[in-house]
Amino acid sequence: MNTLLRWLLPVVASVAPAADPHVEPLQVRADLQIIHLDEASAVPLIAQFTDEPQRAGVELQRLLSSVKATLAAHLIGRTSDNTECKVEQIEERRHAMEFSPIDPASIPIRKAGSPSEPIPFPSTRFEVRQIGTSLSITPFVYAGGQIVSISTSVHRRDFGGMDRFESGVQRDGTKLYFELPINFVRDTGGRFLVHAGVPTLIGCRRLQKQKGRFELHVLTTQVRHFPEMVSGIGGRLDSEIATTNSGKAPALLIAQTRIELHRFIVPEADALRLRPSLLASAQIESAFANLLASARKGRGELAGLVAIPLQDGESAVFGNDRNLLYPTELSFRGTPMPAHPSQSNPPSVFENRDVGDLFEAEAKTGAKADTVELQFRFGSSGFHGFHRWPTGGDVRTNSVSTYSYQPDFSTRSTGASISLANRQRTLLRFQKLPAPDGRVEIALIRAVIERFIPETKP
Amino acid sequence: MIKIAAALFATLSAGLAQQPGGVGVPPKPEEYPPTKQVRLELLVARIPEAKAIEMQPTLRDPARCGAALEKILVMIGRKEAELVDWPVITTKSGQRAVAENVREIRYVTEYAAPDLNLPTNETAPVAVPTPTAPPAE
Repeated sequence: MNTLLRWLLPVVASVAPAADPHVEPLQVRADLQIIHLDEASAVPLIAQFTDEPQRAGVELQRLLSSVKATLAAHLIGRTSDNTECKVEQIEERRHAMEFSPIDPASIPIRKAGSPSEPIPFPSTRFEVRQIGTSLSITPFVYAGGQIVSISTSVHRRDFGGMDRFESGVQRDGTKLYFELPINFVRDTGGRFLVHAGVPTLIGCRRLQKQKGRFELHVLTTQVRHFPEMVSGIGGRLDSEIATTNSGKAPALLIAQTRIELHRFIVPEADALRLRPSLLASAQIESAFANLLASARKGRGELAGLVAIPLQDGESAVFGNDRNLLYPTELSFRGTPMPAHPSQSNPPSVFENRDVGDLFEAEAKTGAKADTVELQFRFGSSGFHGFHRWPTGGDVRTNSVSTYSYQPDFSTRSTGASISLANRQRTLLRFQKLPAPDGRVEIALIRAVIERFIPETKP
Repeated sequence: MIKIAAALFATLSAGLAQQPGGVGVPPKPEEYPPTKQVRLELLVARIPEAKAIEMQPTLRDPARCGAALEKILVMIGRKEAELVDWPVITTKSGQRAVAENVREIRYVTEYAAPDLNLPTNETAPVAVPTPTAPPAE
């Protein structure tokens, strides 16, 4: 395979123009750790990141040192307040995107009884895909460096091997094939509030390639003050802090909501049995625990997991997909050579599509900070394998020997504007998967309001 | 089999989100408008024709449709009926909400003539059509 591997060391682009401490008094360092771990460790850790992020960060480092979790990537960006920074770690991978039929005369004649090795269609054109992680941040520092509102964009591309399509056959039974890459796409974008020095979970996904494994995106920021400017900390920062009516203590700076969205797939009978509990606010937590237990036992499945913070009034997007590449047009060729009749279907036109979860939302905390107004759209698409269309055969043996491959898709989406009580889990989706699967997809959402109140100065 | 779609429950779940300022206190302009919301459940099931006709009056009677629903669920449990879908969606008053559950079916729209250049001493009885562009729907 003609694959060009090229690792680029972290490249920092568009850093602050000149590091003049008198011009840019604050500098922010953002560490993005991308960690892979199993479901049993991931699920409780996500809840801990909501309630006790410091302890969750310690637990995560313990899992990393005990090899129960693996560090898939670690990107560090440094930039000044209100300045964008981009960091990339990219591998370029080439793959064929154009194929030509095989000239039967060029294929060596196989000896009788010898195994026939499949032969690839000749590749005539290639494309490049970037595999790896890119991080873009623009921090806005508040409260003398205690709190950072950070505009973040994380793009992650993962290579998952090659799909092989056997779409041609020689008369002697030798199969002809072409291959297309399997790519996974994981994107997070939005503006999040973080406490400086506190690890914050900004994304969590189920890995589609490895069943039962999850990927966590943990962002930790550090704010550095230049010595010359320490006495001047404040400036626009403190002036933007709201105060209570008494004017004595600073009030909520900006509210943020942490969203947890679990998508389960369970047998129909289990779903119907749990449904009354899922619709009753007093029983939904026990139903949720039941669904998690079912997933652990392998009876059900935790098919998707979204964990993302939403700063008030800022929209955020979260995607976890397989980018599926498939042919849509085939250039059928039979051969005019009587001595070597063969058929081949090399593809000529391709399409690609993201299959997985997409969550887009904007949240606004209620006046009393006990409810969240959430406007959202949650789409889930499923890929159910390739359907083989017979495209030709040997009329003498009455057998089909060539196929074209077309993907089977299903989509489910839910979009609404709802009110969620703080910390109250709510049933978001209860939908049956199309036949022949027949199981039921259940999605539960929980919103937790986070308070960002800076410490008062003596 | 007859497919029955029954929107049996439309419940006001006002408990999820309280009106700012408490009950009876009008919200201030900077506060949010009342956030009462509606939860809608739509049961879609396939049941045998005879049973469906028998249940029709019950399903149309608001006082008895709850019992009819229970009966349909029992039938689903016994595999006498098939659950097609039972989506649930919540939205705020006056706000549009959408729940979709779609399967895409691809089919062939273009064929190419087969090439049957076989040796002259062999027969070529049937031509196999060749799809070239199956689109998504």
